[in-house]
Amino acid sequence: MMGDIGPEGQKSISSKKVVLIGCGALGTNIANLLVRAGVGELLLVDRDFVEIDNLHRQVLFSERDIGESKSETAAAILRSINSEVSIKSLIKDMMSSNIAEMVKGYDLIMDGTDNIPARMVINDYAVKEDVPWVYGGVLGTGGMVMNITGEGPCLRCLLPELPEQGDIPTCETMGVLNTVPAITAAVQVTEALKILMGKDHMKGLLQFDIWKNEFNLHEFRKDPKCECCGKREFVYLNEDNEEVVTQLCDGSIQIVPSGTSEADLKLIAGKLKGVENMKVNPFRLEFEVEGKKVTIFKDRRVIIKGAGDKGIARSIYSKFLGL
Amino acid sequence: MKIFLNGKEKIISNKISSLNDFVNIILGKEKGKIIELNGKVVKKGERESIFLKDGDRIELIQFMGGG
Ligand SMILES: [Zn+2]
Repeated sequence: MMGDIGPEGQKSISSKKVVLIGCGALGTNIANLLVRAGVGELLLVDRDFVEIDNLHRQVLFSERDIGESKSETAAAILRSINSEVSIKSLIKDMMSSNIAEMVKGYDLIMDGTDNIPARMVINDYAVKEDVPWVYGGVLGTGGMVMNITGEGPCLRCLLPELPEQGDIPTCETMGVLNTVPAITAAVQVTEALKILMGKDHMKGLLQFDIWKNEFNLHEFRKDPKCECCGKREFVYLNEDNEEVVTQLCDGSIQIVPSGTSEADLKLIAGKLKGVENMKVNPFRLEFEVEGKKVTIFKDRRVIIKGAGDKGIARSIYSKFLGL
Repeated sequence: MKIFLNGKEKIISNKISSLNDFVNIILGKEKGKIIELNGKVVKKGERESIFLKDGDRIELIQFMGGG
């Protein structure tokens, strides 16, 4: 019997609902494996659109998908892979103000995100509501996986304080070998199947470097003084504390204004002055200014590429968008 | 004093007493990593008040935020 799964295990997997936050390199690999394993339902959440430099490591996407929504494109491909799985998609940025409505009713959260603040929101929600989640992260030739299931430590036991900007290398400064998200996602999905079947699963943090052929399982302890799982203070779920300016994995800066109204992109486009290469469609408005590429989405989210730091991004934001 | 750094034996000067000294003197540019001492993650602010002893096990972990 393969890995102790059997017909009972398969039945249990196909009755479960999984939500995947982030459909990038990790996320598309995770979705591919989960759907082929036959989970009952999979919800894909991603705010982004496919770009040409995603294609070398983000499976499920091809050249004809450039400019299309990641979550919707992935969902369409996945439906053609396994029509027995109910596949749903959302073009949304998961954050403290909307995680509950996205994740409610799901049995497991899979991490396909590319930044620490988003993972802290997932961690707080998951610990508070007692939903298991599987963290995965990649960098260079290395990857990490950890199950957060209530029995062991949570992500804030591992990372009690957010690293300062520049303290840890990013995918931008180090790159990611395209085999790394594949193996990391494979480990995450193996753990997911064990959790969904109620079997014993990995305790601790698995860390590996597939270039150096190093694999380590760090079995560190739950911190009784952990602000999240110990003291149950869920600061990342407090919308007032929501970090509205985030540095993304590729070095670009994202600014999310508060509120839920939608932007009239055509109206904004008509008002812009001194910008180049402007493109507008109902979902997004793109332009270049001062050598930086600015993209504004319908939900008023702005991504600035090449800004370098949050201050410059903020100044471009207020200068050109006056928001 | 003998400690274990990422599983490997390492002899360090007895002048290095606090975990903070160890981080600054021995680790230098690896400061941004997560430090686990005998199976427990140590916060930055606690490093000054923790004193190393013979046989301590220190693991350095690079957090990975990409996806
Ligand atoms: Zn914790």
